[in-house]
Amino acid sequence: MRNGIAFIAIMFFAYVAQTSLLPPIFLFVSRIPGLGFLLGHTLNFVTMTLFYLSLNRDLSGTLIWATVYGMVGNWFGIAWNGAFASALFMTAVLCHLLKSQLLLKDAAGTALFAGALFFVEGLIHLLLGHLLQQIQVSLRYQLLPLLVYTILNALAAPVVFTVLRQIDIWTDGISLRTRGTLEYRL
Amino acid sequence: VARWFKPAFALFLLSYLVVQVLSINFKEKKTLKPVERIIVFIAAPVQNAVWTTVEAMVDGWRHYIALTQTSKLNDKLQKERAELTRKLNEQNEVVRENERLRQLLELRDKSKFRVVVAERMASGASTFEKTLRVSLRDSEPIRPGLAVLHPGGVLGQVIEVSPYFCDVLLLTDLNSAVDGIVQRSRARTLVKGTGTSELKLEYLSSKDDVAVGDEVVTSGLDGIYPEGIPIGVVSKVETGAKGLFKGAWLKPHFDFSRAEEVEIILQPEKR
Repeated sequence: MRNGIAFIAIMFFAYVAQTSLLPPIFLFVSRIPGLGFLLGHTLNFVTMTLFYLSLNRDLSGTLIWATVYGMVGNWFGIAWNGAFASALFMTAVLCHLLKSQLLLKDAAGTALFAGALFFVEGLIHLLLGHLLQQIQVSLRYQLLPLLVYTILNALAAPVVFTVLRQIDIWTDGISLRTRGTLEYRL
Repeated sequence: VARWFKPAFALFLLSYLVVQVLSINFKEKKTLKPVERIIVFIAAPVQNAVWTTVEAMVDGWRHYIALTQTSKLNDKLQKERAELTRKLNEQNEVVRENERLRQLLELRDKSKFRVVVAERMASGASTFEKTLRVSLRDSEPIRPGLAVLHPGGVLGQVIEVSPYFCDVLLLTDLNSAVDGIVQRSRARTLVKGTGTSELKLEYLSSKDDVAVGDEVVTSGLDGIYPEGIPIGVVSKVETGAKGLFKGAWLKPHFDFSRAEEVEIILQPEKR
């Protein structure tokens, strides 16, 4: 119960952080010469949290959290019918299916794995946007933003996963002794 | 049948079902349901407070601490200001002359609208969907589909409304478009968002006269944006295109990501 409430609170914090806290900071940083490519970007804490849950919960837990996170996202300035929620859902399931094949022992491995997932999530999001919204503009204009999005979130993922794991332990979501996909400390 | 086939097929079916359910649920989403209203009612003030605080801190840094080059920039801006004042005076003369001619021809003034000024309080949750959330100062009858402008030109349109804020779909979004016209040659075009800071001009006839530096404005024919609002300047024309159409790129007059105060057009003023 305590753990469920904690992750609902984290979901709201993640949405507020990525819509209101980080965008002004990225706008500021993008004024620095050479960092203009960061304009309009933010860190996707919501998807990061969902990937963490997918790696540390069973299939039913993953499905429930993926649906809840996707539905709530719709109230935070999402415009394409269901593309965001569906992309979240599909990547969370994919992440869960891959977890039995993984043992992430260091931050570099986690960043690489998270980067691959973020790339897939972004790609599915864009493809579903084209499918559901009948967008005709070519996807090639989104390749650079997708690459920046992937790298930014991949770099942040190990830190966020470590924080979430600590919260998970404090709220009795997982035991300290649990051996799973994520087995390292930063 | 391979071992992986059954779970893969089940996953495909499940994903297909979820996409269908979610897209049906989100389709034609014009007003918020009661549960959504409660969540938004809680989240919106927090978003507003966080945005305002971070903005104040960033502004504090930019305006009080990081002041190198300010003096040089000030000199440059003073010169630019003098030049713009001269141009403005010339423009004012043209406007007055235009008014006199309009009165003579008994034409109606189409350039005045009833507007609501709104302030940005958050960005959209997705990097790929270009939206922003603005707080409303008064209880004006905002509804989805209304045009939203920036002092630099067209910004986008309202897609969702709540009592204290509304979400705006930016013109840079992949799903946005506006009917435009090249001011110099009067060639009609469709301006589309590309998800980047530049816009794309489509359906320009290969015979249309379009050149780099041409101003593109709204045509008013799409029923959303009034006529004559600036959209941007042509930055690149794709020459050598075969067929009926040619492509071109447009640089907006302002940066959509940095838009702070916006104007929502309620309706054209009737006289």
